[in-house]
Amino acid sequence: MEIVVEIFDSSLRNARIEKLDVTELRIGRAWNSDILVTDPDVDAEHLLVQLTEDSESFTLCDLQSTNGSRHNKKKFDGQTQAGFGDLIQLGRTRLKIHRLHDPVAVTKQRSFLDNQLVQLHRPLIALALGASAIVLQLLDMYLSSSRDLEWHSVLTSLIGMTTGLAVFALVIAGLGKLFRNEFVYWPNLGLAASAIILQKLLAVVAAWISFNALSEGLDEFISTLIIATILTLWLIPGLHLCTPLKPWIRNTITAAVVSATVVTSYILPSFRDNPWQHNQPQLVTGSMPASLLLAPEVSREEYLELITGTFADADELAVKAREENLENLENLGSER
Amino acid sequence: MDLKKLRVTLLAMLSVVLVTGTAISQESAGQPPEQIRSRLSQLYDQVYQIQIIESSTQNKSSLGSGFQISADGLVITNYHVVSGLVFEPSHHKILYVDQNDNEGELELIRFDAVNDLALLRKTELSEDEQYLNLARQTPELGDSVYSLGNPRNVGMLMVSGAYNGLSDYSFAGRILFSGSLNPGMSGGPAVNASGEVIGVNVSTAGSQLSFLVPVTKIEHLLAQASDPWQPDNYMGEIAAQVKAFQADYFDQLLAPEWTPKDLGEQALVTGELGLDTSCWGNSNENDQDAKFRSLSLTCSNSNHIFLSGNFNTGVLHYSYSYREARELNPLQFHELTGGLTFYPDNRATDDEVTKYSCEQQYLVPSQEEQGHYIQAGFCTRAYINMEGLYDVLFYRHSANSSRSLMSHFTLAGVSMETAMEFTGRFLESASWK
Repeated sequence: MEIVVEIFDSSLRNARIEKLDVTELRIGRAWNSDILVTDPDVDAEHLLVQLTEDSESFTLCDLQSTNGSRHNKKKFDGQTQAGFGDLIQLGRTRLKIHRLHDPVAVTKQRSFLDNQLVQLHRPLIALALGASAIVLQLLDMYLSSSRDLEWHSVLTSLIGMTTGLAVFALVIAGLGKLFRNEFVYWPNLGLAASAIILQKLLAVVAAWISFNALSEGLDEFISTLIIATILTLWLIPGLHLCTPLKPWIRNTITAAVVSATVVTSYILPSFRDNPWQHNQPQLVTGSMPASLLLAPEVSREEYLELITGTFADADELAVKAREENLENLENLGSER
Repeated sequence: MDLKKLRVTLLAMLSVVLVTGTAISQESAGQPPEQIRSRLSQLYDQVYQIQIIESSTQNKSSLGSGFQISADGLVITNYHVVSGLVFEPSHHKILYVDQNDNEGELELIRFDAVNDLALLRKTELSEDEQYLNLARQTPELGDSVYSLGNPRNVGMLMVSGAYNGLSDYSFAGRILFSGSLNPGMSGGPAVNASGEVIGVNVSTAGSQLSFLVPVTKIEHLLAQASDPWQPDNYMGEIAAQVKAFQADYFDQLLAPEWTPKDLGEQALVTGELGLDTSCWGNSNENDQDAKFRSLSLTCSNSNHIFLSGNFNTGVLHYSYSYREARELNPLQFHELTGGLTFYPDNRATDDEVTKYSCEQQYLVPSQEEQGHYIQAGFCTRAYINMEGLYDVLFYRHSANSSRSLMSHFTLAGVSMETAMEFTGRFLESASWK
């Protein structure tokens, strides 16, 4: 009997089509499979499809695969009955089997995660997010000028979040454009890993913008928790379907990057230094490092004692600067 | 931040424009009578235009006036006219141009940055050197004073005005002159009706409000004229001058007890500290719609020591701000009070000062502050080329969910000891009632 097999890419938008005239087909990574799938999560001999005699349906037979098979998103062991047009999933590969003469309709059925990923490919989403950030900012400026403070703190947080998401979406959109094909599947482990790290780091930068805005309105500790949660939620679906990495490796990378960022922000005060204001210190009421929340309060005498330490630090910087100046002078001299 | 805006306005009101900078040019008030005019016009030959020439372009980088005060070629001008040379001696030289377009080179002998004076000497002397005499007596209040100089390139100019005594506004000691000095007149002489120098043009604070350095400040420079400073020690000399001046200033500032003053019904703060400090208050009490109550007091001194075009020091600034939540919930109130940013009040470049090193902590609340959290932040930066001088800035913020009291100061160009003593005193200067 003549059938058509649609094999989808991760976005469920593009499919490879194979036309066959068989009653039985083997799917797997083995060279002699009827449908050859290059997916590391698929076994060499993964799934056997047998058409019934009346050609009205077929039987799916999982060949004791490592990662299992799904029929309409439901995992099954051994055998199960399936109809034409049903969604079949092996490892991360999804496919559909149609009769050649059935009316053609590429289903738009997508999983939630796929939707997320697909949507983020669209620059329009990023632009819309960016535009709403601007609108919110204008609204906030208007309300602040009329001293309507009730909304101000809520809005500053929203602005930060929207801007952060807009940047994130732009990055993803950019990546999607850049790797239109490669995005689907990276067989190279190193490339995939670096893509993930790059994506996470860019997302961290985006989240950092949100963080700063959020921390204006909330205590830093709480806002960090919020951001960490957002990051985790946002990053894990990230390149989910596009890499050959095991989920636990992906999650470990994500967790490591997220926690490194959060920790760095407290351990290194310089992370918060504004490079555009070299000579302007960051003395802002209410913005104490969260580490100090847990530190004991110091007495007036202890504080004065601590202050004397800053003079020693400043002196050290001055000595270093003087030495550099001398060196520069000597270099100038020798050049002449 | 409204507080920040206020401070900017106040600084703008306060700032004394150096005469080399921008100033409003106006017709001088009156003309001197005939006989005085003819006498004074004879002085023109001894008043020079002083040009600082940048060596690589061979063009002038700054311009002022100066005048000769001895037969052996000593010339007085403002420190700020020659500051380019002080900071980069190898890249600059000083020229004078007289009334008849004769030029000559000058060398820097000594300077007094605090009093804004510089002593120069002609490298080549002619046979018949003319010079101005220094007045032996201080003028009486209201006496006519004629200020001479060479503003921009328009030629010699005489501005007449009256002697108004020493200004309370300046700790360093400046004569208040009711005439309008113009850009380029810096360093020129101000003479009495008999043509004797009573002061040196220095700065202006408005169209008819100018300042002169009293002639007495020249004397200690003159006494050392035979012992010129070496260029590589210029920075050390400035440091010593600023230190000596600041030590004297803060000794007097810290000597008396600081008397607390009401800020609203809830807080006690310290107001004017005497000398040249002055304070301005502000509140939103008349604003019926305000969702929080806000009272503030902003104080500063007028003691700004010019070191170079983008480096000044001597500034003391302090302020207090009391706020009450009224209709704001704790989160909103926290956001309102938790966003005050503090900046230094003097200008300095990366070449001259280090980055700030800071110390922020929570402090143990006092008896009156139970239920409040207290944050204190302190930053200091060192002067790279003037060892032992620092800029510091500090805030102390005591707040709970509905009340907040913030106190803040910045000091520029102080020793560590002065900074610590001031900080210790200031920590106590604001309290809850």
